[in-house]
Amino acid sequence: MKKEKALELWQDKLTGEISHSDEKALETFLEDNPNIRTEWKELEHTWMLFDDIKRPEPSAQMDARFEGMLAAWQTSTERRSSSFSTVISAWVSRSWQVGLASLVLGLFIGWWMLPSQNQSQNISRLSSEIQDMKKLMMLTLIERPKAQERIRAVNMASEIPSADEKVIEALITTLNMDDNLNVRLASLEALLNYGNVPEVRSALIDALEVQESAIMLVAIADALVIIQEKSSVEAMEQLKETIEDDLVKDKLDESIKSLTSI
Amino acid sequence: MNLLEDHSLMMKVKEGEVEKLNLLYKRYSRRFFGFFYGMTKDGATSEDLVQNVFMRILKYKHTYSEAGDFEVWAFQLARNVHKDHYRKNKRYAFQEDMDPWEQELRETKNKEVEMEKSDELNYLKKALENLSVEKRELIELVRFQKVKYAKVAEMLGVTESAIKVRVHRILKELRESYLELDV
Repeated sequence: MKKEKALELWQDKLTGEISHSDEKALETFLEDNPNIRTEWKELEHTWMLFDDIKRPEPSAQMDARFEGMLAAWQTSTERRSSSFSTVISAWVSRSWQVGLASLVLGLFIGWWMLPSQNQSQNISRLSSEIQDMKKLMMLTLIERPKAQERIRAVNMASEIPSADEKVIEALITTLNMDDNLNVRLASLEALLNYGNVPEVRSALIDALEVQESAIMLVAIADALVIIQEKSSVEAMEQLKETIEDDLVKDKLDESIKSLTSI
Repeated sequence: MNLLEDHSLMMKVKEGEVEKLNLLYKRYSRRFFGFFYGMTKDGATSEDLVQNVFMRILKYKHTYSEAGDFEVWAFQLARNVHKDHYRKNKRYAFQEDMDPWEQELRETKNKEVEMEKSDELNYLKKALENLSVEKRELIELVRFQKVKYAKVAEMLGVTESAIKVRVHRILKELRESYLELDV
């Protein structure tokens, strides 16, 4: 057995997750390597010593605060669920395709029947209402459990030309919180459309600290170069000190170089 | 599927039965408190951070995946809560107050043996405090909160083997560091 494998088994043994056969194999390895046995035995002593580090108990106030918070949340949700907008949103969420089709049809008929002098005004109103509908749909779809639907929502956001606070907030939350890498990447791409919005720029810098996937970190570094966010250099330098992935390190170096040479 | 499993409970919370969060709170609040206490050494701050985690669980419940693992997801949220807190406060001034175990110690009869052990413990605690935040976090998760290697690996986006090697190295670093303090 190689030392690397034995080390893994030793760590399993410390946490009590080792099988009987693995423990036997480990024992044979240690018998053949008495120096390693001595060293690891010492580490085991340190590991066991942790048991003596006592932690205080939280106060009873913590539980009371949680119960209060949960009750407040339930009350606010009940209030929200009875509001008209939620009823509309739930209806749209159930059959959004039908909703959009009937809205577009209704608006078109209305526009067609109106006198011609109002036509240009109505076209712009029609277009703005379609945008609003898209926003509503995007915000509904982004909460769906299927990653495919969330990606569709994120792509929909890219089609909304004007920067909307709610849309941007939803995209930033998705970028930082979604557990699917593809959804996170899609939201990063969508956020690039709003690269001139200060909140988006600072959210991308913050994301360097939040994200842990190498692919995401590389993509964010690229995005920061695209939007020419020079103030991200400091965050990149800091990340470079802690990150162990060489690929990410190289990308950060490249991005820092590119941002500082502008 | 067991309806009382963490995952089933969280799926219910996601579907709107937020009162199910009570059970998850009972199972996890002490572990989160222990995690934050290990990272901040401050009881009041740790209680606030536990509150933040459960607030985020409610706020971001829609992002919990059907294929998810509650322990991984919730500890990931806890790590993010701690990161945000750390970023705002940059570094901690570790409290000089006596820990409860030190107070207990005063009352023990077998003082001499305990004192010897407490010296070693003190050095170990000091060495722990001197670790970088990332390393301390790893020890907290694996050793104190008993999160399995595979789950920590998932949180950190690395392999299980890499986590075991890292823990082993940190253990070695800790031992060397507290033996130096002992000199």
